[in-house]
Amino acid sequence: MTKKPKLFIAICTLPALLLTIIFMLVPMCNAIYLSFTNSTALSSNSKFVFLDNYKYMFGDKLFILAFQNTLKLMAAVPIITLFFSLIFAFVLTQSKLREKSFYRLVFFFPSIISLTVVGIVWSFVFNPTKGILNHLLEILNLSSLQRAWLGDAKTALWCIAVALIWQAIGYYMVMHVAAIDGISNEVYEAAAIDGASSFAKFFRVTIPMLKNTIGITYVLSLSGTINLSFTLSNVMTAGGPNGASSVLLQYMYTQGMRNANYGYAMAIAMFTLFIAIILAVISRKVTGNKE
Amino acid sequence: MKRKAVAFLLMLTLVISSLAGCGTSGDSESKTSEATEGETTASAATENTDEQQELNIAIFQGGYGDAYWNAVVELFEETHEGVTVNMTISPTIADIIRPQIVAGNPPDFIALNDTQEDGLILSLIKDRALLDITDVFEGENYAGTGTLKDDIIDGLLESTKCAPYGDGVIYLAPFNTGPQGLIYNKTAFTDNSWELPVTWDDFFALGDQIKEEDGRSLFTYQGIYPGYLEEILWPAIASAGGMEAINAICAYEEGSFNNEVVLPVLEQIQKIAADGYLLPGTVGMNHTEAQSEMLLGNAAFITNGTWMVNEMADAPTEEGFEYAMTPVPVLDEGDTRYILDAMEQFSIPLDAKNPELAKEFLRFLYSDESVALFAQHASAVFATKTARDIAKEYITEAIYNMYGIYEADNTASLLMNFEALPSNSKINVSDEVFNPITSVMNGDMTVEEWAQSVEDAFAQIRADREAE
Repeated sequence: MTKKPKLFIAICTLPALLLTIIFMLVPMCNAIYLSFTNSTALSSNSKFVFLDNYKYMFGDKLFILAFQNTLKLMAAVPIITLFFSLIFAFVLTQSKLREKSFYRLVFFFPSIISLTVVGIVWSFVFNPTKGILNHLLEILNLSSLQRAWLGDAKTALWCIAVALIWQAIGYYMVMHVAAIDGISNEVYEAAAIDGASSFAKFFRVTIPMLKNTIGITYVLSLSGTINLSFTLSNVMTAGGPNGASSVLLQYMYTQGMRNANYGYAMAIAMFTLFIAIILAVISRKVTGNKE
Repeated sequence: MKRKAVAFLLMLTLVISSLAGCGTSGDSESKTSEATEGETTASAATENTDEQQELNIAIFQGGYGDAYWNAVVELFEETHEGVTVNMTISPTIADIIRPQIVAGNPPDFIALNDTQEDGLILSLIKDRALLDITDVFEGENYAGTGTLKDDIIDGLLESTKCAPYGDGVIYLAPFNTGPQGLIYNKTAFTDNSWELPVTWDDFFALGDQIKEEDGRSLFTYQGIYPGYLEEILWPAIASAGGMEAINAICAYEEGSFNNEVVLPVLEQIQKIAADGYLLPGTVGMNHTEAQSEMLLGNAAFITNGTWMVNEMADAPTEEGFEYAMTPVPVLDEGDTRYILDAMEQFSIPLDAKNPELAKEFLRFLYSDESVALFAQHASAVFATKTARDIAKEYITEAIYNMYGIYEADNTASLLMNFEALPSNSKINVSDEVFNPITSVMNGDMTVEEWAQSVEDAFAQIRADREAE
């Protein structure tokens, strides 16, 4: 029996371990520590203030607005994204279209474009005078629906949601295609023999067998929404008309980078982390993870 | 064996090329130039040094462009032997120097306003991280002909824009001043015989007239940056309530915003959108879009300052467009028509490595040569008493006239700056006052709610002050 070269293994993993500690663990602990202080960017005199930042946070109306907006996005975006990505994945694997690989490319493309570019492109789409959306509505004789999409408090957040969904569908579609490919064809054939329509195949065969994958992609989509909504909110609306499209991470950025309140910004970050963890735990339980 | 060697080599290449990303943080547009070697010969007020001196300056590149800065840096290096100026100039200068400041390595000299979106200078003020430069103004000017502070336009150095802690100690130096108000197309007004409005009623009546005769909207503004509306809000409040009203607001006093003097002013602003005088789509436009719309003749007025001429120099305009500026409307005939001063600022960080040279540079910037360069390259006027005359031969008649609106009847100049925030404050006052405007313009918020939200912000600031 050959002896395990322990020293060699240790040396090989050491660089990666060091990098992880220095660039991920240490800043994370620092962030947790900072959230209990009132330090600012130039903090020559930061004091330990315990839970003051957190107390202020829950009374801060801008924070509450950002939190509500983030919750709305988290409620709507993952579900719609996964719904469409499942349908597309199903169509791409089950149908006999010749242009399958072309569609795969087209659907996946948005998820590899830089998110800032996505934001800028959609800003132009929603532009009140030069954007194609208002133009399209005019052509379809629906001029009454025209509005300043990104400047209107009621629609600004949903414009960001649309951009998020558009960008993410392809990414999760690919995951679902891989998962569906894992379902043996015999199951579908058996269903076809029993007289199932495509509709029934989708709901009675695909979804149940994909439950685990859907659970995973849902959690990924949730965390993706929290993270990516920052970039889009920053680029498209800068927090929107009076905070109507501000999200948690974007408000954290404002407080940290613009107002230089590092301590407070870290408190917001900790809260966001906490929310993300709770939601991930809940959704894994609900989708019945057996592991 | 050979395969292993090749694989190892490839891996090495990969690792080394990934390290190429580690370099010194880039300046987006860095300019350095060599200074002459050898013994330095001192000119009127330079330091006598035997070694090379380096000055690091960080400049915000805005509507005035960078031609002036390139020229004045060159001139400074020519007249000060042994000095090298490393200039970083960029529209996003705050993002560039913020990490340097946080790391304890700030530039020696900064040209950036405290009203900028990035809040950098505001946070430096909050943390008391700027150098006291009162001695520069108490001392000689660059030409050696007198005290520097006598050269500066009256009233600037004592205002909170320069002495933010209210104790008369100067931490920020004035750069340029210029009027801000309603910019319009002089040709369009003369051709159509439209009269410039004095009161808000005149303003709206004119709006109706223009809509009927020409079809263009009365007013537009830089929608996603409602802070531009300070050019209307503060002068209008000053006209209605005098300097006491303004000073009370600057001091975050209770009841200074939600009262019967300020509310009627807020209602006039709301009326612009509520009664259809606002160019449709304005709230979603950025500054260049809104300004373009006005230049193309889709709106009669826009709030802006004299930099607009330079900023929109290459933009398409309607036929025969001529720039002109008029003060903001007042509530009653006979009220003083205030004009908000745009004053940009210079500052020197407390931890600057080379503060003496930075102060010398500051002194140099007020010299006649520098003022002339500014007029020539940026079509704008420094904050010195003689600057407008020096500038006259370089700036267009339109700009010269814009600077002249202070001389019109019954006008007064207004410098408005909030007092320094307590260091633990999490509020951005400018946001609190101006962000609600978008909601008000959209009809989602009433003026009472707007006024009350500002009062709530003031109350929080007063509480933070107590707790400090």
